[in-house]
Amino acid sequence: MNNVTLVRKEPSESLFREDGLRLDGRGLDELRPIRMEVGVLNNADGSAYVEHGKNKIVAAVYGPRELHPKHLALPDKALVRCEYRMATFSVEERKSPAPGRREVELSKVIRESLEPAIFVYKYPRATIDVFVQILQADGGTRCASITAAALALADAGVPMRDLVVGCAVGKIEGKVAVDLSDVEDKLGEGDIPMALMPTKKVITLLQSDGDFTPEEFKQALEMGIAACEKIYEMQRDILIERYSKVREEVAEEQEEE
Amino acid sequence: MNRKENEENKGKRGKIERFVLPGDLLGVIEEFVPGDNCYVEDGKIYSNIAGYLLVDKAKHRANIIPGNPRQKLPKVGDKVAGIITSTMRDSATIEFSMVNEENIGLPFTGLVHVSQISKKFVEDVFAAMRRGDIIRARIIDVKFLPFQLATNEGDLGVIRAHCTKCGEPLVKMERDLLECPACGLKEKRKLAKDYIQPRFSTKDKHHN
Repeated sequence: MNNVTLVRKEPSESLFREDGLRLDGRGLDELRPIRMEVGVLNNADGSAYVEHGKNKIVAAVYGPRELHPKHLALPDKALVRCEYRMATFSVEERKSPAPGRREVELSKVIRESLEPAIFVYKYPRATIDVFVQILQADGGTRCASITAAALALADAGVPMRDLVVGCAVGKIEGKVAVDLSDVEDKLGEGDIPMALMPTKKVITLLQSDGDFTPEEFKQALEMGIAACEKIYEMQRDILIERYSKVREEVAEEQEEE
Repeated sequence: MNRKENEENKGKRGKIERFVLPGDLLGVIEEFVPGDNCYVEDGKIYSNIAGYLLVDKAKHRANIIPGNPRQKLPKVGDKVAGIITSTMRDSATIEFSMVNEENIGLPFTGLVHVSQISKKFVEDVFAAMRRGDIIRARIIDVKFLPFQLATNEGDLGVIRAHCTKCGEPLVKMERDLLECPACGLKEKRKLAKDYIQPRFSTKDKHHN
């Protein structure tokens, strides 16, 4: 019983395949396949659905609207509230539906990475509510949530300085790699989730866990920004597609009249 | 864009140039004036929202029409209808979810100050509107919540009121004067032109 060690168990298998690619066949700077959809919910002012690899996320935005309870209202700006929740079926082992420490923290992290992009001073005493629901989790949910929430905010017509994109960079077996999956996140050496306002080149979220040398960190940052820009292009395309569709529908309705 | 929005945008002339997203560069401030849904940073104009860029060449003005027609935020000049939830000496609080005869869902709160109740001098809010009254008002300021409202026009004011004593719907007797058909109490209100006269009295029915 005394030979309990604190040394982490090494993975039995490598996180790289024989051909040098990652387990899911990606290169070091390659993203997982991403699919987005905007305006998926009828009740919300704005909504978005994002599939980031195996992650499946729905984001809904309400507001700006009146804040209840009123004592929370800020005299000079709108209050941004964010709720990040994982469904009980989102992970292999049932997740308790009660909000845990991790969810409360991620709610705060997502809120703080979105807030710099929102013109909160336009709506004093009001609130902007952001709800993020994880339907299926597979590593990097906070970053995908930020991407989804930004889309929902844009869909709701909330005045924003820029869109926000999230992406994680990490270290697996000594190599810096972009957009870690669940396995890579758990068995890898480090993880840097980041969020970016792409046209302004402003980083709104930067966390780090694990050890990175200054060179590695620099490299990770560059790779992360490049990855964020790729996701930003997808965000753009999906918003343009969505509103051209809305426009066509309205034009058809008018013709019928 | 629905028909209502087209009416709204009638005053804004110009050509729809392209679809823009938040943070998209529209031009520099020397080119044109930033209009709706634009913001300026370092002398450059950017878009605030996802929508269509409309450049008015005559006025040198860039406006952005929201791409999402679901947006229903009340704005200055909108006519709203709601119920009075409380009155103070100098103001009445209104909760409304009808904006321009359209239901916007969750209610907003508005405030009517005594000075904005009527064109005539009103000494006390109590002589013009009371709790439970349904009123129509116009938004005069949306800078802060609660929004500032006014009822100092002919078609604005109380459209339905009940007796403070017995709860009976009040009948309009003359301008700004109501009477309770059940108990005869006379009450003063700032009435809208189209005050809704009660069709029958609940008390009468009861006695028959």
